[in-house]
Amino acid sequence: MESIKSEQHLDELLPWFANRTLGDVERREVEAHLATCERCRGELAWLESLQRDVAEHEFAQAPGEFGLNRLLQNVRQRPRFAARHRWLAPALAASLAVVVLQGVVLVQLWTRPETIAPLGRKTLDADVLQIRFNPRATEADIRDALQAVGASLIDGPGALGIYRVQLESGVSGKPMEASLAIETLKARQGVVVQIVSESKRATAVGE
Amino acid sequence: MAKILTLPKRTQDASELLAAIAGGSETSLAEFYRLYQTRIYSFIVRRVHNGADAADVLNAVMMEVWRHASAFQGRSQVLTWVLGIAHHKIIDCLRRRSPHVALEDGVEESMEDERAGAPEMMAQRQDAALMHLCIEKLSDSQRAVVHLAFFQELSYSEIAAILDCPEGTVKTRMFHAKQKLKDCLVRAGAG
Repeated sequence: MESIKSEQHLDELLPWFANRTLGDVERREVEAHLATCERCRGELAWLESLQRDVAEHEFAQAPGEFGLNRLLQNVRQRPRFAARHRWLAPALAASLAVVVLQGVVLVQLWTRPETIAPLGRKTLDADVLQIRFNPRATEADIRDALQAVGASLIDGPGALGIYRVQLESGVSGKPMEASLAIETLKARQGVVVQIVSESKRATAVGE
Repeated sequence: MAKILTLPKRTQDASELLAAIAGGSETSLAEFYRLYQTRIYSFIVRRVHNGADAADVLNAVMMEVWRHASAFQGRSQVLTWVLGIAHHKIIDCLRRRSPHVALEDGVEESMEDERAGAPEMMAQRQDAALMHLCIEKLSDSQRAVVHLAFFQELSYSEIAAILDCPEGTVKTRMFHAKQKLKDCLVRAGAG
């Protein structure tokens, strides 16, 4: 019984002995068995001819450059940005919602002249920072920097290249402290050239 | 066969290519496409039997590589990973085409093919061409194992990973494929 099971096991390994992918232990087992089994040597010869036939007939001419052009068109039509940065899509959606909300607030402010604030004063309760970015910084660098402190762009660039960003509520439910956000962004060497809290500037202007 | 099927010599080269694709490099994607298209397309077309469908499946496989290159963790060969993707895309294609036909060792499918193919087989006297016709009569799962073992030259453990089945199942399918091929050749008078 044991020898029948053993022979069945070795018979099952023959195709992979023929294509030379067996590990050392199994290969040696099969080699040892082939030395004593004429039936298996015949089976191996048949499998090797099968392999030659498959190699000859299974090759198919692939689409080539036409297929590649089609692929690259598809790739460019559907940017992979959202797939790489899955976490960014909800964050961007939240940022967009804030921008829309600000737009609503600003429209309301326009219709109530008594509430219009002078330039340089923030109109919302959240901390606003004014940032000048390195001209060589990439969009990805700027995006990463803002995401690191939970900030979103609300205005800019102005004539001096200054952007205004607002600190948003994060996972904790509270926005990052402005002073911490400033230190974090200052550490992004090569991205942030100048940064200041608009609250302090407003205070300075108001004094 | 060797030149057109030449793949990156080192596993690390292929992994580096995937890492560059994960980083958004279209150049690397193009290089990957040119390196792997023949192997993958050959695997696909032998199972879907239609050039246009096979081209669509190949495109879908490469888009999957583009979107999920970062998911490759190096636990298998790159070819094994890509052929695994191709296998699932092929199954999707075959199911869309014939939702009620069994794909796993389907007796019904192969019996129909045998009846229709007998006159065709009698007219073919070249052994290699006859063997090819008999391979076409195998079920999809048997054909896949034969192709992966003898054209892609993969081990049974790699084939199991690609087809998402136990190693014992791979060996069993190969056993039945061999038996069916021999029976087919005997009926055609060439066995």
